Amino acid sequence: MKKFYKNLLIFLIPVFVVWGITEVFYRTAENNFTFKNQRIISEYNQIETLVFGDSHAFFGINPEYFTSNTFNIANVSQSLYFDELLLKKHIDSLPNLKNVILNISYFTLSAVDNSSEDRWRRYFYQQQMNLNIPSIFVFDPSQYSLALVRRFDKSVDLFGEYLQNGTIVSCYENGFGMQDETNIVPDKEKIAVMIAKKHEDHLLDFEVNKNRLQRIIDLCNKNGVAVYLIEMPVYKTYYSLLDTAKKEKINATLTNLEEQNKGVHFFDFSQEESFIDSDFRDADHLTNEGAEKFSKILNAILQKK
Amino acid sequence: MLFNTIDFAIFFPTVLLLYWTVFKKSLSLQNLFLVVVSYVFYAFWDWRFLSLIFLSTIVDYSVGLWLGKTNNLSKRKILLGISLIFNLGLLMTFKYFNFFVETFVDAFALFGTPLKITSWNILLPVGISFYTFQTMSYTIDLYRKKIEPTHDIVAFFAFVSFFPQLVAGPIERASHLLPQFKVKRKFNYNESVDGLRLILGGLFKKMVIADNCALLVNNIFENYEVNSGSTLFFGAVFFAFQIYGDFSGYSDIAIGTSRLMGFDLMKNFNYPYLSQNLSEFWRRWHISLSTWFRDYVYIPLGGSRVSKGRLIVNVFIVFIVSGLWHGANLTFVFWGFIHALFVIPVILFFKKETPFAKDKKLPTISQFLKITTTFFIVVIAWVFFRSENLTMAFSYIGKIFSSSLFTMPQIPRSGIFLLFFYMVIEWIQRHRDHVLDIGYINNKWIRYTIYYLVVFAVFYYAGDLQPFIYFQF
Repeated sequence: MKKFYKNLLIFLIPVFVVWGITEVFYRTAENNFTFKNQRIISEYNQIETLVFGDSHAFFGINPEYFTSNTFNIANVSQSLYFDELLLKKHIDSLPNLKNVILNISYFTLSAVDNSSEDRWRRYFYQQQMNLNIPSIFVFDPSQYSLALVRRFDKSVDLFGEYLQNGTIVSCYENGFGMQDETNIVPDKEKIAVMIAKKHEDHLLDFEVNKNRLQRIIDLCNKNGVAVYLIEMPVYKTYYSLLDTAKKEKINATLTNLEEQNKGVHFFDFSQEESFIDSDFRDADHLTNEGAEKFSKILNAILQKK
Repeated sequence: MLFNTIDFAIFFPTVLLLYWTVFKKSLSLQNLFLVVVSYVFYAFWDWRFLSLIFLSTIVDYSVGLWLGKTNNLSKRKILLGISLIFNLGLLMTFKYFNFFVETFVDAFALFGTPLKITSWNILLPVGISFYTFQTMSYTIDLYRKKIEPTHDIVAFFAFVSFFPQLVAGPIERASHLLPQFKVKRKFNYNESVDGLRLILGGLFKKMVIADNCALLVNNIFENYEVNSGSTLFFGAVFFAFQIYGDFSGYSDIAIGTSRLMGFDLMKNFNYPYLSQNLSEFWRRWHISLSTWFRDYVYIPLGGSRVSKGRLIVNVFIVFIVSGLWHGANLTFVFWGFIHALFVIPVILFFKKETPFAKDKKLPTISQFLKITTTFFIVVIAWVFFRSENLTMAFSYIGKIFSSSLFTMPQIPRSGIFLLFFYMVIEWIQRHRDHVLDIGYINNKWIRYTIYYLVVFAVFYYAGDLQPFIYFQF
């Protein structure tokens, strides 16, 4: 028995070493979570407009084209759950905040808390953006090791990127996501079919996220901040494949929130005609040019209001 | 709790350490410890369903005691009936109720009589098909007087809830597993090392093969309308490997973890995709279930010692019930039907397949053709298993056999190459106990290089975490 345990431990030494290196890497190397957290804190006194949302907003709303001092705190697969926690954490420290832009995607209102998308991200939000995220379960060993919550291949890729570029931060100082200009999906019709299916969760229960939005609005109202609920432009085929009833319910919910609350503005740009094929990187993300175009539109709206 | 999670990586070594140290001195205490940790293991999914396992255990333990006390045939029949009605009742309620209600309503609707019966929103308890079949085998074997009833309630509880095989098998027989709870287990170094090899090989099958195939399969099946016939064909091939890696990987881990605790579980898979016909496939695939159906359904129906007509009926019954065991959907019934269709000619007309020669590096052309044909049939049948309904399955197969079958498939070539490479490894290991059974390699450095390569693959090439497919059965 002793011999078995001894040999097993010796065998596992390289595994433990790699685990340790990965853990140190995640704890010391700056990434989007730590970077955005530091940036927003250092810009507390300047920020006037704050952009929340998922990858659509992260890659689609560029603060550079806003007249007001804007910061993009959106992130890939960032749900309303994290948007609310981030707003709660920072709003009291943002004395000049006037506008909050919230991107509402097709799946935002029907998103379920603690989904597979949130599985690893929640630990990074918790530990690297200092959000108070309750544990799902008492026995949760992953909360003690960031190396354990991310896929190993992703960790190796990030480590390689870090060695090559000296950073794994993939956003600009204003929080806008960096995009590879050459990474444009050529067959948008096909990807539109696939992404529409991927995003179709067949859920029409918006209660949890509607209440969450209401709490966000109430918090903003309390602080004298206007809320802009935005549906971003998407590729036409993708839009046509989405469930019409759900789209109508999303719009009705957002319109209702706009009507019921002061300082809430809802804009549906999902089928904005000025956006052409070349403005889209794939079925539901804008290119840098598309983001510039969209950010200018948003800025014009903010200036009018 | 899933085998391929951090939770289990903490849970199992802790259990193992306590099992061989603190609880080593007393067999009863060790068994009691196994019951407690097994219930904890199951409670990670849903603690409410522990009551079902508890009730099933109590009912069959009591029935067993009474069966041991009486030789009166009618009383024995009643007792067996109680056990079967209880266990099958659990299955019917939790697994098949809605299926039968909906089929009933559909059947009436066909004849123009719409019925308004609402189905219930019933959660399927994980592993219910496995532990109910395991406990039923105990009472049936007692009824047949093949085994003696146990008076050790703790050992019986441990037998029913033994965590490595509780939720997805292998479905153990009381005659094989129960006696192992009654003798003092001894730690065996070589068996334990082989247990680790089984766990490592199982993790590779699950995390590298099955979970990566799952991503491709989900994509192809969800978008089957827009994919070419060739892509759909390879989608079905990927599913064949997904379900194989998933289920046999689970079985390997279950057998490996049990071995580390001094238990011997039955082999559940024996290189099934090297089968030369469908009959052989069922001797190599989910062996614990196919032998269960053989012993408790096929043989009681008369087995093969009946007329040809009756034999055909018996085979269809077994395979259709086996299909239903997998899930409450007509797709599973049809999947079983296809297998029966191809097993019957083998039983009726073909001689036994030629076993693979140990000294031959390659199969003969005839063997290769038989393996390929069998694999092709199995792959087509898997389409029914994976599809949401029969319409989708027929439509999917219809698209496979269209002119677009001869176009370039939209799949990663590396995936096909790696699966082929894996099959070559299986071919090399075909006479060994399992795919990572490499204890015969004398050179320690080669052995350790292989281990580390597999460990690296498990970490680096693991697909996104997917639940084990067979948990839903």
